[in-house]
Amino acid sequence: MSSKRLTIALGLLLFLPATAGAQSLFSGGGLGLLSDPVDARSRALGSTGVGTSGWHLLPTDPAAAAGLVLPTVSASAQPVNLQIEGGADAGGTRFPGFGVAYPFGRHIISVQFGSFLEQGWRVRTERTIGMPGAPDGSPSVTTRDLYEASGGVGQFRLGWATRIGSSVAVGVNAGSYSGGVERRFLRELNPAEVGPDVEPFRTAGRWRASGPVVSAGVIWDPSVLYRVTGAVDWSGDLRLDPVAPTPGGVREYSMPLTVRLGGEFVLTPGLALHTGLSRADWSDTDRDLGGDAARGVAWGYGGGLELAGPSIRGRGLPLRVGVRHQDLPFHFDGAETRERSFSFGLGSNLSIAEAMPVARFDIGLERGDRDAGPLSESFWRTTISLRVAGG
Amino acid sequence: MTNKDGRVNSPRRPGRIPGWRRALLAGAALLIAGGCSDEIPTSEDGNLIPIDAQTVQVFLDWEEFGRDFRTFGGFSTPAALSTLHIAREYRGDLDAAALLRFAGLPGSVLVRPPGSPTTQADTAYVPVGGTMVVRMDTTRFRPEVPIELTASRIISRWDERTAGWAMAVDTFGDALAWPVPGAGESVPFSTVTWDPEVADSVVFEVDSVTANAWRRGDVEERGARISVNTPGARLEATTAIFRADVRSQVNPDTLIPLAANPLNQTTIYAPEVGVSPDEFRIGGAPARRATLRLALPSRIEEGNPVCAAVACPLELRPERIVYAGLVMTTAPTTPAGLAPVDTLRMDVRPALAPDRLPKSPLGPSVQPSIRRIPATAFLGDAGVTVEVPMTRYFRDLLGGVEPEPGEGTGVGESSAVPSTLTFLSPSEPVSLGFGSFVGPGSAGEPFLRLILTLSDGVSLP
Repeated sequence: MSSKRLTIALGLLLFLPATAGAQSLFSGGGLGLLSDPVDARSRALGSTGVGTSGWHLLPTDPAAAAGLVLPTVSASAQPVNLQIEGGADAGGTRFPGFGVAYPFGRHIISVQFGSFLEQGWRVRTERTIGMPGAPDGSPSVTTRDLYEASGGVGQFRLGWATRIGSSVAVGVNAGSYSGGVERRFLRELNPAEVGPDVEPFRTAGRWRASGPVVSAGVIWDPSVLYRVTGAVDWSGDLRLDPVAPTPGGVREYSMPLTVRLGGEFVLTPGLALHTGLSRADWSDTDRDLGGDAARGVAWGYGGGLELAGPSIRGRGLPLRVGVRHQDLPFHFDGAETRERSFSFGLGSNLSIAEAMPVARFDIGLERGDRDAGPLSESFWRTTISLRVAGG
Repeated sequence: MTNKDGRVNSPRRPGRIPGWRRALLAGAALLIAGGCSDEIPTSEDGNLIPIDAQTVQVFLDWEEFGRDFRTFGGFSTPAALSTLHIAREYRGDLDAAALLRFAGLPGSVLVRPPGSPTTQADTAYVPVGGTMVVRMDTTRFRPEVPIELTASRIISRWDERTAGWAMAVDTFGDALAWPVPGAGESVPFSTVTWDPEVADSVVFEVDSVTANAWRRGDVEERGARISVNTPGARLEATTAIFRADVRSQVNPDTLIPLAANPLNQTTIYAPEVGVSPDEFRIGGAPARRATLRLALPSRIEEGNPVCAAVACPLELRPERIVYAGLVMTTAPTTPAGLAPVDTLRMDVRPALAPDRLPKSPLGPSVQPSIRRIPATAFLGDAGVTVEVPMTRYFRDLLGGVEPEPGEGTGVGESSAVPSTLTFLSPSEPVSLGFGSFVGPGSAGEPFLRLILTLSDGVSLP
């Protein structure tokens, strides 16, 4: 397979499902489930989105593209299998990130799409209600109610990155929220109780997301033994516009300033330690949601080890393990939520031309759980990233 | 090129991916494709639904929605029925007779004269008698005892499209009553007893006078009247045929059988009831229809029982209505002999030009399916409630007008959706019997039953 064919295959892969699959019942809290647009390697290392060695495209790490020397396309897919305690298993595939970068001399220009807040959940319940209004009383009727939310808020970013000297790289990207959310409610009355010709009650709404996002980051490589990275995400209000015929006006939600710090340290030849930290204050968002809907400061931290690993036909196959903790910003059913995961992964250069990797494959497998009060769920999350470079 | 083991490496083009990596890629693709089976995380905890929805019923009395109740009759004719009906004091009050007019016999027959090797057309043949065979349909009416029937020769002029019990001809500009109601002046020529256990047809002997009278096809004063003499009996006949025996004038020793099928046929019956201004009558032959106009309120005001559960005035918005049905109550059909003997099928269709009623064109049915009402609902005391669902029509009707300012704004006045409904049989005529429903102003008058789900709709948190 040539790298051109691989690019096409990668592109096709992106369009496999029309919509992103659902990942968690916890996406029913607030504005959705926080979904960082990080790649398979970062997932495997427990990264918070910055600080991994090498040069790559990551919406959370604007400076990480500064060292790319060839036009590059990268994309990630993320199949998830979810086990909800006391509920049915669920699963689906989503696409957390896609990016294209093109170098102009020392300057790297990039376009990236990334996930941010995801909604994909539903409630299906049967209950018996009274149906008042009859002159002779209020007969009971069984209803089947279905509430469903889908869609998600993503981010579109245009970026610039460059290296300053041999040890510093900087990057900035700016863009807008994209995507939207859709909510539907359906109530069916039991025809055996009210007659066969009763129709379901349906109501639905759709909102389109917008709002500015800006990120800036810096990478410092003081030596070949370690790297330190910092990035800041600033966002204007997340604006959700109703799409006709959805009634109601525009809703705006404050979004937090997110700070990410991370680094990678070579412990021994062939073994590196990665670690990272993130902080976002969602207090203003909580206020916009009416209070008691989001936590204040949400911390994320994690780390992992990357071992050079075995070599097959002269190509390294690095092995990775990691652990990660992420406070989820929105409460679920009134309780604070968090996500923890252990991860494992590996990667390989699929194709090398003139000592330059032109196609790379990484996979990260996470086993994690989320909980909020009495509700908990566990998941297997696989992240697969492909990167193709060439001139 | 050899490797360190001395084996020859396979040549490989730069930029190509080796086999094991292809396998890795394929595995990744499979993994992704496998995860594409999209099962949305689902909870069964109804408390997580962030929307309030209340389902209520609204009952509207006739005076709150109904206007311009009208009844019409005279659609089609008994001659269009697929069967002939014969009855005597059926259910105590129905008499019916079948009238048939056969096609004329051929103008000539080919007969070989005595001693001649060739045939010759004989136009002077003489009918000397024959039989009239009537095939009975015992699907709905199967007498348990032998039934006596009489066949008579009609001697009056009659028109099959307009003939009734009283009138032989009742066309525009031409009215002629039977000398004796029910074509009673007809001359009996055969009386037989029919036992359905023995045969499915009745055979009447036809005398020479009758056979001669039926020879020509262009005489209006001819035909057969079939009646039943056994009190309480009712029969249906599907087909009849006249088999004539004619004697040739060319070869008088020869009897030639000829046959004629019915040219016209109809059923006459008594009592001949039309429409009533006080009740819905659906079906029959000629068929009856009823119409009403819906003037729906745009909102439910205080005083309706639903206001005990929800805030009133309550707007009747199309998206809120999950069910709308007109509840009708059956009435005993009078005369009982004309009550449906089979399931009554009732259709409800909008009148597209109400000012042209009863000849208004009709729109498509407003019901999801034709309503079927058992025949027993119209017997005895009747009083069976029948609900006619028309949810989508109601939604259209409510959505067809903009809310108008001011009190008492009715829906249906200026709507593009026709608000006048016609209640009728989907096929006219299908039977002699018709169904009756209590009309406005009486106990059991029609009322509307609506089921509404009230919700502010989905919203963002």
